[in-house]
Amino acid sequence: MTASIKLNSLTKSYGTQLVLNNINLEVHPGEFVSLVGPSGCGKSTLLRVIAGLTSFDAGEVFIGDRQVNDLPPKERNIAMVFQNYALYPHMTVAENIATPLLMSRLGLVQRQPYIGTFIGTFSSKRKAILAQIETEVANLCTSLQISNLVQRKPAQLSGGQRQRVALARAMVRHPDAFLMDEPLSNLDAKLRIQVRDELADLHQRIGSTFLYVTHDQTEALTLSNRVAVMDQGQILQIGTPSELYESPANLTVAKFIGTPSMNILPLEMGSAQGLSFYLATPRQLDQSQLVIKHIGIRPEHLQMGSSGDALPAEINVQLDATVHRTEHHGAEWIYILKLAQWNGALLTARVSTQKMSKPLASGTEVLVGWRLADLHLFDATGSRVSASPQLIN
Amino acid sequence: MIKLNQANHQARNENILGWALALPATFLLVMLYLLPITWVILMSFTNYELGAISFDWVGLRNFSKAFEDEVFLRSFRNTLLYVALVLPSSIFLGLGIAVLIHARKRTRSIYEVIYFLPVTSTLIAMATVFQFLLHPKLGPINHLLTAIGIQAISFISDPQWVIPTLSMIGLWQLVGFNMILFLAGLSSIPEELYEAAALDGANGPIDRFIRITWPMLGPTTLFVMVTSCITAFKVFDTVATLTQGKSGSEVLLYALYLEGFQYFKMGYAAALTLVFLFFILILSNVQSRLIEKKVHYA
Repeated sequence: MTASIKLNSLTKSYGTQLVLNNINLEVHPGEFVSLVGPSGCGKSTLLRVIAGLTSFDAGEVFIGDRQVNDLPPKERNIAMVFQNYALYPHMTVAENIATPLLMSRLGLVQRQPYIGTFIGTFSSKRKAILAQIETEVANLCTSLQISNLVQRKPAQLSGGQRQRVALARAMVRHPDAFLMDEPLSNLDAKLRIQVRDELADLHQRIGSTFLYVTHDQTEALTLSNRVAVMDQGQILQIGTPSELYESPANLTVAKFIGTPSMNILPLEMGSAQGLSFYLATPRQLDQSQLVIKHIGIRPEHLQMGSSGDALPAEINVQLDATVHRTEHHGAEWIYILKLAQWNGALLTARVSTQKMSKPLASGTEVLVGWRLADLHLFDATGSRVSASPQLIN
Repeated sequence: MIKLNQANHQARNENILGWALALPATFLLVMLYLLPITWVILMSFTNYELGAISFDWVGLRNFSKAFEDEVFLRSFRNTLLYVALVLPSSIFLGLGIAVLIHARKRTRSIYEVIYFLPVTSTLIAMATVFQFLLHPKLGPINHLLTAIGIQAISFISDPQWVIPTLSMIGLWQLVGFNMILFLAGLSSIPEELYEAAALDGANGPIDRFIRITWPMLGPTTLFVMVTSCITAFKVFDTVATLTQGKSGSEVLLYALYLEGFQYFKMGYAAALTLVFLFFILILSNVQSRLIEKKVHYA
């Protein structure tokens, strides 16, 4: 039932603009993969290409073992949940959900209104099919807890209810894979989290293949087995949420994944604004060959202390800073710190409210530091450099 | 107590303001619609003739006369036939053309203009053209008919043919307007619905039309139906310019134009007007009520 999705060097352009640039992606059967990226990065286009709603220039799309390049959408046996749900506004919930089954199980004439009904009065087979469809729709509605809504029209439903009906319509014919185009973006914040959890449960329960497009990294990270980060028509990195978070492949991914986002500091050749270190690599690069252009550090890896007291010794790098701004985020404080060096660059630090019950006032001088091992290093092209930096002195 | 008075005072002020704001519209409504209609209703109970110094109240005699009047009854039948011919054809043709044009991309605007041109043309001017086209001896249409072996038809002077001919001209005039309305309706159907339908397996033209296009056009169709019906009922200019009511081609409006403005029998004409008004009211009401139930408003 559930199938893999495989894309081989998929390319698409609108005129001179490349919207999909050599996309390779494999979603394993039963896997939940998210496509995440800023708007306009090509993630929705990619989904539509897989669904068969949009053409592409070159490459191959496989669903299971079938190459579906030239198949119309309905023969690909996949379901899609649209951002605005695309429920048929003139049909009741039950009719909406039954539509895919009517289309696949009844003939062209039999499924038409009036004519079909007329023919149906002589055909016991049609009656049996309709009864079967009715039962299946009813069962699905029960399992999704929308049985009380079946006679309503979409306009009489709330956002969350519409979302569920759209899911039901997608699920009813047991497709090989589900494609979801920002399905939560029209819900309010609280409902979004609730429906997100329901989606996770649903995936666990039916074990189908999910390809999920979103611009919200939290959704992607919380729901997915693997996440693909896209930008400008390319997949920048694909990996498990923790891989993306702990070792982002490049600057764009590093900035995109994580809230608040990673602190990125530019690094000049040689001594970096008073901070000297070298890289221990297998070949022991010396400092003149330093290719690092940017360093990154996650907000939770920053340590803060009052100026005067030194931070613990394992914090290899310690810098002077002043508190610029403080935000209360419930369980933690978010500090925006202004460095004394580094042209007064701003750093975001995350401190648990358990450690620090009262915030420091703006302007307070503090000491901020991190362990070299927690640094992320990026070269001139923005790619990650896998090496462990060491202090020179 | 004082507070209550204040509240009362405020409520009264708002009341006055409300009336003041509604006054201009109310004034126009009364002057342009309600008074004239009342006037017509009153007049229909009289035997007033234009220019006459006095008149008598005749009760319902004008109405009873109308339903014995050979000309009026014929005009009534003619109008019904005209509506029966024009209404369905202008709706289905308009819809068909709109669906076809909507699928065009580059040539769409050209077709739109072509089909909309008849709406903008004045029929008085076009009457000459039609007279020529439909002429029993000189007209190209009859040339065509004789060329394929059919006897020439006197489209305008043969009582059998005159109403169908007039309704074809009416159709020619109306179809472009309906097409534009349907096009607007088509453009407002979200593309996503067709995409969802394609995934659900409804991507053939028949399924697309029956599952999505037609039901989504419900409100447009209702509107087109009511306006087309009224337009068809009001047919006048083709009769006035092409036949002048000859060969038994009178229609309702032409009959009451004759009574009122040729024979100056204002009382009788007013009664005919009311009959006409009554029918339009009934028809559009029945249509709305019947179809409203089936129409989905998004």
